[in-house]
Amino acid sequence: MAPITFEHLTKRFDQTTAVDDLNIEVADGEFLVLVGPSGCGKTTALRMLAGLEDITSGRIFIGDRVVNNVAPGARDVAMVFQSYALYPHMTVFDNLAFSLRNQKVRKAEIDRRVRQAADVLELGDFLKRKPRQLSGGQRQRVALGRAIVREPKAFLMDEPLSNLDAALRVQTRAEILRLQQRLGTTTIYVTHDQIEAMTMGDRIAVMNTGQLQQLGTPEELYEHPANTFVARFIGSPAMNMLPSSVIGIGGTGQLAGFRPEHVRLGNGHAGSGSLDAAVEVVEYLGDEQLAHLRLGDHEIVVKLPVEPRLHAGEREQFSVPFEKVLLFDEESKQAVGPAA
Amino acid sequence: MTAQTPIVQAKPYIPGRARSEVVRKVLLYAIMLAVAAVFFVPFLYTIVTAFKSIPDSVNVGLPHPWTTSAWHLVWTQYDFPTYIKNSLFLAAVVVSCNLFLSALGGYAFARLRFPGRELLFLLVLGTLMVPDQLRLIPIFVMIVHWGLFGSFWSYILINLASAVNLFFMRQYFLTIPRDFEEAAKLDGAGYFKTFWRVMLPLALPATAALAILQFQGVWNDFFWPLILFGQGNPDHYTIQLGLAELRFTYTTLWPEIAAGSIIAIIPVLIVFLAFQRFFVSGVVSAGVKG
Repeated sequence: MAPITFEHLTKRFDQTTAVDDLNIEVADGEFLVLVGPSGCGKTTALRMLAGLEDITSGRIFIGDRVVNNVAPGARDVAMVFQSYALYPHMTVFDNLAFSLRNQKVRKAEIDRRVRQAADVLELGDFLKRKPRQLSGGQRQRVALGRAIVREPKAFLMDEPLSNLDAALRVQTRAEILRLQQRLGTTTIYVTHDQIEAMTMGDRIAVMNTGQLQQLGTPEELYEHPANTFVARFIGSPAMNMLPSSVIGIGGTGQLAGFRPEHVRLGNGHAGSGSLDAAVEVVEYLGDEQLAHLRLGDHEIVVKLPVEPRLHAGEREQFSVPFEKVLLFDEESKQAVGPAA
Repeated sequence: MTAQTPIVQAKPYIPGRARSEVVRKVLLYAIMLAVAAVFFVPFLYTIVTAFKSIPDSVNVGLPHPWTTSAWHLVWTQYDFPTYIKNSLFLAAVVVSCNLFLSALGGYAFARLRFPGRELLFLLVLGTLMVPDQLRLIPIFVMIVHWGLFGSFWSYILINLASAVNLFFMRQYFLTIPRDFEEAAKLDGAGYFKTFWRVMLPLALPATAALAILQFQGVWNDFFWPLILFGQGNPDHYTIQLGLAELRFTYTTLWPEIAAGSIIAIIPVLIVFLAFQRFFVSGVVSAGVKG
């Protein structure tokens, strides 16, 4: 276990800057999620930490050691790949033992550690099988096992759940969290899925176009997004953004952001802005409904209780409590502050 | 009163289609059988000839009488066991060395970054354009100069590496996802261990395909054995040189050549049958993805 620091980390591929002056300090034992859309630089940052990508400038510390020029195998970090990258010609046991054998660990110790990891991940019955004889979830667990047998200073996970179906993803998400809490190993987890980020991370680093947009706890990011990108990226459905004049709050050149679940049906609520909107589409979710509304040139999504039911084509009045509205500068896209 | 709509019988579409499908299949099989016959008839002729006597060998048709004298002659008087042993030895050494070096070189060209890599690779490919006949004299002079003329090592040295195999392996390695290597790197494996323990086993289909082709190449090689061992060195004769012994200036022992040819085919057949699963997948994947 060790803290990890990215210090002015930059990576350029020819003319493209993949990671631009990234500064993050990850505490010992912390679970940090790097999240962002495809091409935002999150995987590149992780690969630089792993030693799989050269660093253009800046430094990476693992503990108090600068690892810029340390070989991947000597950094004492373990990575779980999106594709799992299990060696297909080796048994599960050999896959788990490969790194330990490279470190010249004694045979008895290898045996003990492999069996311990297999017990934790319930892989004991599959040790003699080849990866192709396992299901997706089992392969995923082997990939995790390969990381934990090494007892590394940090786990690096590159979208490890993206190949699993939705149900298994939820289950494995919880398993990874339990495992990380049990081992207390510093973990950096890359994903493009904001739900994974919100549910797993002690802190989340949101990236876009190579730059860190905001670093904070899930609550901080949800409640106080630093800019419109974070505001819209975190949360599903995304935060609604309207010129502030539409709901009658804020100054000129400002955007009003509010979450779909904060909109209420009907107007006349005190301390609220009202919206007169046409219902275009209604998505019935069982316990709630998502309504896509049109206000002139603008579109918003609201999340409402399932009763009273809305229907497409209707025109309704809605209200947004000012205390739930965040204001953003229209030009810089940076947060100005709460509206009330 | 409603007008009666005449009932129109729909054409039996499926049976008609099935009939044309049958015709298509019959034609297809007929063509395939004809093509197979083109290859199989000479082979059948060889098998039949191997059981004929010399005078009977010029007749078309079945042997009259059937005899195994040709088999007996090649096995006892012409020392085919030794020729087979020599060919097997050369094939085994050349196949293993050549595949190892081709895979090693192919991996380096596919994945390692080093100065001059592209130029070096072009030079390797350039050697493909130089025919054996053109290399003959310089190689011969070198082999004689090094005192290796007439020895097995001369043949092994000449066939130690080949640009075609190296190119084939490089193309195959390029199709293997980088994740495996990166996982091995993080697992603390060095370049050679990554190659040996991870990449080479993953390239098994390509390696097996090359093993068959290389084995066949060495087994059927006549040119270099003739140059290197053909000058009165019968202890080193390979199976192809042995077969050539059965042809004289004024006569040819056709039944013996036929029997010897069948003996010569057997090891290649065994190797092919043993590796054909890999061979097919190797050729396909290298061809499609490479």
